[in-house]
Amino acid sequence: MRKLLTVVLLVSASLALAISGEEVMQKVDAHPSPTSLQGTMVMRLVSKQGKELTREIQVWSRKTGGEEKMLIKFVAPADVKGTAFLTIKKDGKEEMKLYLPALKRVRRIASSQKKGSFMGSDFSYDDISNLSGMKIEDYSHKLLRTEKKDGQEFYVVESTPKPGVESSYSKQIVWVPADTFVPTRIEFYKNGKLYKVLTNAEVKSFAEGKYLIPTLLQMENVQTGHKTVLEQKDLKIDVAIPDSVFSERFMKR
Amino acid sequence: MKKILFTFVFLGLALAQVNLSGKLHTTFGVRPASGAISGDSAALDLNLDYSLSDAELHAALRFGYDPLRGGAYYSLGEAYARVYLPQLDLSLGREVVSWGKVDLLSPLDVVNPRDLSSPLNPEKQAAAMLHAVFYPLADGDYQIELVWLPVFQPSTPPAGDWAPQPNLPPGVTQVRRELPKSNLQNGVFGLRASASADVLDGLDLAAEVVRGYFPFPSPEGVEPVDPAQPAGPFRLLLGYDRYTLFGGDFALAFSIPGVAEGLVLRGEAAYALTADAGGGDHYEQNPYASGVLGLEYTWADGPTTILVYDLKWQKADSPAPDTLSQRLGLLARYDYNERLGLQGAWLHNLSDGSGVVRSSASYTFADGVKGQLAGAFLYGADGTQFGVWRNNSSLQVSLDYSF
Repeated sequence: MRKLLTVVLLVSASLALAISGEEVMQKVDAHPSPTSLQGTMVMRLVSKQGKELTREIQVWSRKTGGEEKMLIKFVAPADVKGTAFLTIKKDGKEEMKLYLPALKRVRRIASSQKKGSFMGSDFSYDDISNLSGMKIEDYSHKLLRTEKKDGQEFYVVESTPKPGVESSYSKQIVWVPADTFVPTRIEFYKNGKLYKVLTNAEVKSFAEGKYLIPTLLQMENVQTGHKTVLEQKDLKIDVAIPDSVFSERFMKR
Repeated sequence: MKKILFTFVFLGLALAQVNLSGKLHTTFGVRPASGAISGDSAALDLNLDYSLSDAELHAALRFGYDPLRGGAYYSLGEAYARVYLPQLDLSLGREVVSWGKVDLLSPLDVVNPRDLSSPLNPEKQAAAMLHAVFYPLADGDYQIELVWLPVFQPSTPPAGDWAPQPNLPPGVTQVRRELPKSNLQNGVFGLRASASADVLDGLDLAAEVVRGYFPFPSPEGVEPVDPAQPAGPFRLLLGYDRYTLFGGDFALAFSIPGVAEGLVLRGEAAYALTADAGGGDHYEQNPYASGVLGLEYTWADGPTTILVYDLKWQKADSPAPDTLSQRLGLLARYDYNERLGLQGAWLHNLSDGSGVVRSSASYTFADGVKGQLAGAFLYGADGTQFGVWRNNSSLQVSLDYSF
């Protein structure tokens, strides 16, 4: 009886793991993503003691061919209002420019800053520009296990950067629901230690169900107990955003 | 006058849907060595903005109280109207423009006068100008910028404990400062062209020319105080000399594979040509050239650091030899978390051994409420660039509320 049970368990496990980590992430990546997005992000920075600071930003992003552009403008708080941040990714290169109203100057900034905190939040500049998803071909994906939670089945995939790929994290473990293939939880590791946890608490469908986009995210730094809650509001999807938006002129305006 | 200003402000607010923002700033400073109070001020900055689809009106007012500067004061900062045309931004009014690319030391940023009454906290002053920026392409990779300041506005020299010791020639008892006459020939004109290129991780280039004035006056001669008494006493006549400044700057982002990713190198070079290219006229300022290089890098989980090197050549009055001076600067800033930010800067004059070290810690108590503790330490021998101010080392605490 015990042997039979073992065989059944092994067969069911092998069936469950019939899909590979690469295939899971390809299905995640196969989700259509909008070519452009415009909206407001509200970030609540919550300390371990529960004290909060708020940031409100306007975002414009666009993907055309191999080029990705994103412009962020701060609306609140008042002391950073008008600060604008532009990133342009093209041919494996990334340009970053920052406009500080107090200096009245657009500065090309070091892309080494992208590993740093995004305006004091638990998101790095890199995390913000990768919100639409990681570049899956840059990572090796291994299916660790399947899990069931609240009646929903999840694939748990470990993604590690391939040699030569520059990444802020040594590995990521991604929880992917078997029905939607929109990740709900990502654990970020640095030097083998759990560093941050991203939770997608709310996923909304747009363009009559064409797109599934996380609209309420929480990034928690497990080492400090600090967390950032990011809410995406007033999203406009696939709207025409002209080139002139991703320019120094618009940053200053 | 105050009543009229207030009436205009509140009438304007009532008539239009004006966006009101601003900052309440209080500060207190002390010189630890002497116990002297170096700062005790409060100021309210009000920004009024009115935006239309293709136009913008902006005005900044400051109301303050500073017993060390004579009590209550108010001033008008920027106040301009700007229109956004398809490829042209055109503004008229009092404005601040920033040219150049290097932090800490920028020899090309010469359009606006500066308030150097407290030289450790220099502030650019708005000046009345016509300012046009032309964008030939929608992506903004090319820009041509033009400024015309019809009336020259000089910088404010160091004041109080920062003011240099008066050094009047024998027999001279007074000083008269004369500004250039306000006519079309005496305006300040600047032209700047900039471009971005896809070189390494990104390159910005710019070239500029400014027909302007030295920001501070220099001796033009001596004259009798009373023309009826040509034998004296005398007064020193100070005037503002013209120069034409030519320059260029760049910012280049690049990586050194396996060593450092994501560096930015910035540079500026300027040459100021004056009416006395040979240094033969003792009453005319001489040409100078200045070059600055800055390297920026953000360390993993660490600070952003900027290393700056500055070399300046100054033509001397003949027969004295020309002078070369070099300065080295290091700026570091680090956000420990979303509330606590740390910043430090060190500027050392390699030529005379003087320098200044500044550090500050700022803490955000709530959205828009920030406190700062800052210290400045000046060192050097008598007669050196920073050594003359070595007794002005200070500690300062400030609190800002932005709304």
